Amino acid sequence: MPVLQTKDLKYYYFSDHIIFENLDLSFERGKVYVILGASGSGKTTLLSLLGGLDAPKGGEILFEGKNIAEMGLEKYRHDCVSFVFQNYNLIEYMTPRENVQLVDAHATADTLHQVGLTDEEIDRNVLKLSGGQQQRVAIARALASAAPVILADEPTGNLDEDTARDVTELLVERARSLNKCVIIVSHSPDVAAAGDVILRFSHGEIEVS
Amino acid sequence: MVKRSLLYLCRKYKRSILLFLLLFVISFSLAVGVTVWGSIGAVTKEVQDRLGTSFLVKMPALDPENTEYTEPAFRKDGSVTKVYVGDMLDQKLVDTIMQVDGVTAYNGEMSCYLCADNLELVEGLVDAIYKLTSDNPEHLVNYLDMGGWDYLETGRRTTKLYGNTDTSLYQKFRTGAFELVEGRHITEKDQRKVLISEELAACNDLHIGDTIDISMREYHLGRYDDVKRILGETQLEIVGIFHVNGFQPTGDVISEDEITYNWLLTDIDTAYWADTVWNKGYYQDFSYGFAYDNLSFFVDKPAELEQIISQVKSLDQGAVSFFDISLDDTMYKSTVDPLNSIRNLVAGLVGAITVGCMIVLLIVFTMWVRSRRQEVAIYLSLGISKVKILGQFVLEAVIVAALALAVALPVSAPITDAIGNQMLASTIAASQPQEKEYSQEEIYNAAMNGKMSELFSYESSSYAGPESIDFSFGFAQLMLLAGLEVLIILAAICKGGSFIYKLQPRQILTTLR
Repeated sequence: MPVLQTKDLKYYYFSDHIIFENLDLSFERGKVYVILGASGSGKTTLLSLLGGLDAPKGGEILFEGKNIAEMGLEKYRHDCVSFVFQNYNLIEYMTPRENVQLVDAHATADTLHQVGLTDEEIDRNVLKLSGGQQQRVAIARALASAAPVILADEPTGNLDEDTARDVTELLVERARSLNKCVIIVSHSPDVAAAGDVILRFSHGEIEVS
Repeated sequence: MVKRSLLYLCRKYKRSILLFLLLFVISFSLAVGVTVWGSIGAVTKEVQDRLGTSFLVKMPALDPENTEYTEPAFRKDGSVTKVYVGDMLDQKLVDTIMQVDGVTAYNGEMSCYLCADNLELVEGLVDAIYKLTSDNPEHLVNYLDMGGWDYLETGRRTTKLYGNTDTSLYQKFRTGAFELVEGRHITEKDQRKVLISEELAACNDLHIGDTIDISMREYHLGRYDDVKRILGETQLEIVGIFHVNGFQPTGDVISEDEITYNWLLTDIDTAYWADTVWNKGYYQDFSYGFAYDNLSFFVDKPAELEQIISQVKSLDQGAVSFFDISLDDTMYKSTVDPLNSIRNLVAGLVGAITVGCMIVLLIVFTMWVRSRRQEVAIYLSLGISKVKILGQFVLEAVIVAALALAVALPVSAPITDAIGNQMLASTIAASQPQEKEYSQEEIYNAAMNGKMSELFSYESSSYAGPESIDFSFGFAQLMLLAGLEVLIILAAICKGGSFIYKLQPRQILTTLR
C-alpha cells in the first residue's frame, strides 16, 4: 500500500483560477519523489496539501489508506510527516541537539553525527553554524522523527552548489536507509537527478516520470 | 514543554530579566495591597467579634399615666406618688434570653448616686461653689433651704456608681474608652468590689487592696431636712484601676458625678444594695425588686446576630416581647467604618493595579509572542499543539513570576507595614470627632442644661480599634496573590497570543518560507 495517496485532488485560489484538479498520485516508502515546475505552477501548493498545512478544495489525501482530514491535521503533522525547509527553520536559541530532541526526546548525538556534525558543533548555538550545517541539522530533525514521510521545500535553495549537492546526497541516502518516503520540491537539476520519480507540473497538468 | 520554557528563559536572559523586573514591580504592588487588605480584614473581624456582637434589651417608652403599669405608693413623708409595677429587666428575663442558642454572655447594669466618704474627688462644679461660698459666705443664703454647708459638703463628695455583672463587658471597656491598667475586672461573683480611675487613685494615693467608704444619704433622695443623714453605708475593696482614654471634661462647670474620673465601677450586688437602701429611704412600704437598668447580651457568631435577635423577639415565655430589643452596633460601627474605608480603598487600588497590570502585560506579551511568530510556526509544523505552545509561554511567565514574587515578598514587608500604618493613622485621624473649641459661656449653658455630653464626644463615636496593626503576609494572602498573578498572566498571554489560534495552516507555511 502506498504511504501517501491523492485521489481526485483539486485546488484553486479563485473559482476561475484552478491550480490542479483530478490529481491522482501515489507515494511509496523508500523512494524519493522530486516535484519540478515553474514558479506558480502549484508544486508548493501540492506540498502544503500533502503536509496538512492546507486543505484541498476537492478530493482527498490518504495516509496509509486513512483520510488525513479525519485524522486531524495536527496529529497528522506530528505523527506522519516531517518538514525540511529552504531556510532551515531551526529554533534559534537551541543547539542542534536540542532542535532534534524537539521531535525525539531520546535522540542521541549519533543522529547528528550521521549528518556530519562534530561533538563541538552539536552543542553550539545553531546561529553559529554555517548554512549547510544548519540544513544538516534540519535534515537530522526530519530523520529523527518517527514520521515515514519527509517533505522538503527547496532544501538547497539557500546553499552553494557544492553544499547543495552534499545535502541532497545526505537527505536521499539517509531517507532510503530508513525506508522513508521523501518528496522534494526543487528547481535544482542536481536534486532532480537524485530522485527516483520526477513529477513535472505544467499548466495544471502533472507528468510523472 | 517545561524544558523548552527553561531553555528560552536561560538563553534569552535579557528578555527574562526585563520580564522579571516588570513582574517584580507587579508582585510588589499587589503584595502591599493584598497584605494591607488581608490584615485590615483580620483586624476588622477581631473588632467585630469584640464589639459588634451584642444586642440591647431596654425598657420601652411608657405612658406614666397608664395604670396598667403603675400603682400608687407612699413616700416616707406621706405624700403619694406612682410607681412602676410592670415587667422589669430582671434575672428571670436574663435567664430566659440566655437559653437562646448562640447567646453566650450578658452584662447587666445598675447605677445610682452616692457619697465617696473618704475620697477627694476630682474637683467639679459643687467643689467650686463650695470654695466660692467659703470665700464669700454671703452666697450661702442660696443653699440654706437645701441644707447649707451640709448640702455643699455632701454634694462635692457625691459621685456615680455603676454596677456591672461583668465589667469587662461594660460598654466603656469594650469600646476602649476605659482600659484596665492594674488589677482585674469584676464579675457576678464579686461583692463589695470596685474599680477606680488612675486619677482618683493618684489623688488619694490608693492602691489595689485599699478600701473606699461609700454611703447613701438623704441628699441622694432629694430631701433636704437632714441631707447628711446616712441611710446606708458600706466599704468597697479596690480590685482594679482603669485608665480613661480620650478627652474628658473637667472643671468648675461640670458636677463631680459627671466627671468620668470620679466614677466607681462596682459589682452588681453593691449596686443593688445601694438601690435597696434608696428605696427603703424613699418609700414607706414599697421597694422595687432586683432589676437592671440596662442589659446587653453577647453572641459568639456575629454573622448570626440578626437571626438570634429575631429568635429572642419571638420568645413566648417571660415578658421578652414587652421590651425593646435592638442591635448594638454603635460601638463597633465607628471603629469598623474607618477600617472598612481603608479596606475598600485598598481593594479598589488592588483592582486598579490588577487591571493596569493586565493591560501592561497584555501589551508586553502581545509584542513578545508576536515576535516569536516564526518559532510558533516551527512548532506547529512539527505537530506541537497550539495549547502546548501557549502553555509554554504561560509557563515561562509563571516561572519568572514565581521568582519575582519570592523576591518581592521580603522586600515589600517593611514597606507594607509603613504604608499600612500610615493609612490607618490618617484614616483614624480623619474619623475622629472634631473637638471644637467652646467658649466658657457655651460650656456654662451646657452644664446648666445637662447637655455636657453633647459637647464632648468620647463614647461610641470614637475609634476603638488598634492604633497600629502588624501587617503580616500569611498563606491566604500568598494564595490570593499567586492566584491574581496567574490570572493576569493567563489573560495577557491568551489575549496576546490569540493569533496562534487564528493562525491557519496555510499561514504557517507562509511564515516559514
